[in-house]
Amino acid sequence: MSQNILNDLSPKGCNLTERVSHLRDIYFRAVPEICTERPCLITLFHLDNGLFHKERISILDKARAYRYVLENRTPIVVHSRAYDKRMKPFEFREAPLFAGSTTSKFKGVPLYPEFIALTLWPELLTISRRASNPYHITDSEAKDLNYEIFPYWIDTNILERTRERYYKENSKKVEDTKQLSEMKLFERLVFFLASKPKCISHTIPDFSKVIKYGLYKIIDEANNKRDETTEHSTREFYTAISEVLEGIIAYSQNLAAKAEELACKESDSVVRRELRDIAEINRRVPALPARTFREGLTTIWICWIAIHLENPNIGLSLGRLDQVLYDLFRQDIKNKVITIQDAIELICCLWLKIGDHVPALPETGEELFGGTGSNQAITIGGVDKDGKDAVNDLTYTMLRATELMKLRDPNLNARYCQGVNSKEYLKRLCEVNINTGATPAIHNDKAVIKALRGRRDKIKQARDYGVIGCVEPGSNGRFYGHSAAILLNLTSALELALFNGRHRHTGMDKIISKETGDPATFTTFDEFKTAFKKQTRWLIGKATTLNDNFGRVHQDFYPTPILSAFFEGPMDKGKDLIEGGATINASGAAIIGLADVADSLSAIEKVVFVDQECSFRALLDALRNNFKGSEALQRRLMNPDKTPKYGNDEPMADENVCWIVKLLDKTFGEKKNYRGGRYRVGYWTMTNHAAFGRLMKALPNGRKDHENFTSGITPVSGVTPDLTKALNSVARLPAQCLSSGVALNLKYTPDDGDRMLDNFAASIEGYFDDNNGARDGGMEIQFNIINRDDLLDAFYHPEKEIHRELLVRVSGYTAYFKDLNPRMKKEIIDRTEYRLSHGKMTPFDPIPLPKQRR
Amino acid sequence: MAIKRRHALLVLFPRVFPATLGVVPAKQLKRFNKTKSLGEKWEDKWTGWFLKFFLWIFSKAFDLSEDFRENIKGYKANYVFKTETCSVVVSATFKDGDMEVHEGDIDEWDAMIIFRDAAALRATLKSLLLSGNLDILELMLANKVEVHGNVNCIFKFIFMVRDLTHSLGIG
Repeated sequence: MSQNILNDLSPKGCNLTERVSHLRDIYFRAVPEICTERPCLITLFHLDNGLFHKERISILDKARAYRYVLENRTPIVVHSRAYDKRMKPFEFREAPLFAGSTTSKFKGVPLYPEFIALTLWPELLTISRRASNPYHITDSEAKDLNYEIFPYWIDTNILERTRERYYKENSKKVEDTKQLSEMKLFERLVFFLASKPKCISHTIPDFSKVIKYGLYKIIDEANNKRDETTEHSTREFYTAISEVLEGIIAYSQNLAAKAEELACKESDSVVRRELRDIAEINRRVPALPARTFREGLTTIWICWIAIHLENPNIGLSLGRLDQVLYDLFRQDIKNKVITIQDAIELICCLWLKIGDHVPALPETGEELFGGTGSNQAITIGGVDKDGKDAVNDLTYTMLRATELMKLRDPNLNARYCQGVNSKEYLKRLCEVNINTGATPAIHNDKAVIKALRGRRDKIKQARDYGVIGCVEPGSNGRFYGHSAAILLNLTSALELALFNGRHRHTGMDKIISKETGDPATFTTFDEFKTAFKKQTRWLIGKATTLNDNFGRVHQDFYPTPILSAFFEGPMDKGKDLIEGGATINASGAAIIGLADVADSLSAIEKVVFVDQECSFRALLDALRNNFKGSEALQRRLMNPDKTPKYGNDEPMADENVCWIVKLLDKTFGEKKNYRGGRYRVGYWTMTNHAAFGRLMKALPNGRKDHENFTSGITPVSGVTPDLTKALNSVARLPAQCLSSGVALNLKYTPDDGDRMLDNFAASIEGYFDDNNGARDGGMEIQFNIINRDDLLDAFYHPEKEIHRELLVRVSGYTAYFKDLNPRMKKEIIDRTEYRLSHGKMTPFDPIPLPKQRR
Repeated sequence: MAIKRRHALLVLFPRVFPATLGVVPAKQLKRFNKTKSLGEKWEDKWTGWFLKFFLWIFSKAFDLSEDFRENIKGYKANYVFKTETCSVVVSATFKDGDMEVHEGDIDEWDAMIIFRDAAALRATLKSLLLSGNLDILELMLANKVEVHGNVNCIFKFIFMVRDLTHSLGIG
């Protein structure tokens, strides 16, 4: 329910404290450091307990392993050293308000040898010198990884266990196989990516229970439930829950003891008191219920660390923190335990803690996907379970902290419900976007709730959605949807349809999928649509089969007791999250290349079949030659006045994009995953539209070889001159087919007149509007409010200090511009930029495509 | 120093090049002879020698350096390196702290790297020798290489190559 203590919704009187400014400066100065603590402890436990040779690792085995890690990792209360970009150490005196860290470093790179840590093996000697986002590593850490840790995981990480079980090869099989298995398709990288080899992630745990009751109470519940059953696996599950929760309590107690020890040695009375406060808080929570706002934040932080120790943080998200913590916040403000300024300082400190690690990526991964944080989404605002206004003072306080910090992580997502949330709130969201340049993303409650209801979530569950990873909606703490399980390159399905089952990237001599006919022989557009449909269904079949096979290997080798302990469902069912324990189960697929495929279909329909200006054969020849010698045709295909483009409010183009999203929703929706849930489809691309674009050849929409695809659900850049029409085209798409979220990326010119804020809010209102039920309205929108000239300056002069903190919205998450690969930088620079004062695109000349490394 | 070492390696290379090391099984060569020009055949043969020589040097490094040998202590794995047409096929076996290089294919392999053609293989080896750089993911992206089997074995192999080139001052 909406609560207003704040006189100023901004609240502009509150600023960064000296402590936070100092920590923030260190945060930006420090480069990530590889941390070997977790892989070392987990490998030792596996060795000592014979887990490497087991044919199945039980949830109890895993729970004991995590308890061992939690109890034995170094309790770090205060960091005092980091490395700068020249890899030189620098000392500092950290004075945080929260103890503990996800790694042993100030800004760490946690490694999970069970997943893809071994991809860093080739780089152990060079990783601190690589061009893209280097990590610091000491010689002894590199040696430990090379000799003591990685060798044990060669045959036992998730990828290899899956290959061994489902895709074992030998010489004969390699020679004889013409049709590529789904694993081979995955390894070719151009068809789809699967996330399961690298994480069990992309979900939101529930923190409300631990805040309210504390871990001891949950342990009691688990023990009681265990004693009520004789079924072995169920007893094992509850014992496992107790084990990991005891481990979390032990870790917090270790932090408390360390803080007390440091306090005893501390001569500065202020610091001594702060350390004693930390000790006192960590001695209490998360074991016992949180009594204050700070204890609530500490509870979340300690549990969050534990969740990270179990699973790589790729899209693990914190949910609706302004709801979960509101009672404690309100009570502390009311009782004058803290001021709003204190609350902002606490939130800023937590934001920095949340960003204390970065995902490990090999060099090529950095080139393809570089710049990503771990995409830890936090959701604010919207409506509560009863449909009432949930925007409160903590919502505004968190917005202010975000506005001041301008950080990549956490990824703040704001919900807005038209007619329920106030217009002042929407304006404030716009204002924070203008001031940060890129955050928060804004979600339309009505459309999102409708989408989730379409997937049979109950109304209260749907209303209580939080945002996962980039933009994916999921009911808070009860939806295990692994929303990034599959990243599907839709342009590959188009490619296979265009070339009768062949793919130019893998070689035109090999038939990869099914032969669906030579398009040059097609006499109607419907025949081509049928071919595309068959190829799409084939590709989806392969991607979902692989995802399910990885999921089954997770079930046998990677049970998740910690995540299960913080979820609604597993405790009732006595079943692990990955066995289907969650209340709502699903898997998510994100589609890359929607606008490019939609425009390609429209181009084929219009140019080949309606206007008959060009034969299909001539079009295919032009594509093979990358439009060399067919420049006039390419101009025709690119020209929005002659060829329908999605985003221009044109029936042909909009019908084609609508047909595609329905096809994908139906095809994915028919698939049941390994946990019994259905697949959901989303349109957000992170940096994959640049990565996949790099691999793909020319397309019928006029896009040339290796150019970037368009991000998320956004229309193709440069061909949609009118903002209103662009928004209308997107808002017309059926929300029920977009249940795993969308990212609409727009770029607005900053400082665009006196009415900028009003126009900004009006553009969102118009886009979200369902026109009295005539459409669903747009689901999500996110912005870059940055001048093209500023971006160009950052592109050509990355060394300038002013660009160090330049925050941009990629497609879903925010990133520091300097960390992105050159292709991704180009994509952001070349996005359509609209002036809100007249709603028209600012004309621009695309910058040249950056050269590939090799 | 590093440049001098690299130079010495390259000067030494043709002198110790074991010209007698044929690497293509006769059956495969026969099939392959039908479609290749003499120049291409020579290039393939040369590439095979080059690869085998490279692996031979690599195996000798394990003999010569105890530190380097530590990498393969207890390591057991079979690798096959070949081109798509099988114009070059060389395998390497790690067992009992030792590395052996063989001509031709083996049935039970853990990792197989198939280069699109001899040129791709040469480019890879050149990159390795001149810069110590081998980015298998990049090569896969460029469609120059196909990887079969356990990709972790390949990561380990690349680390060992880099370890060697690193200690030789290359890259």
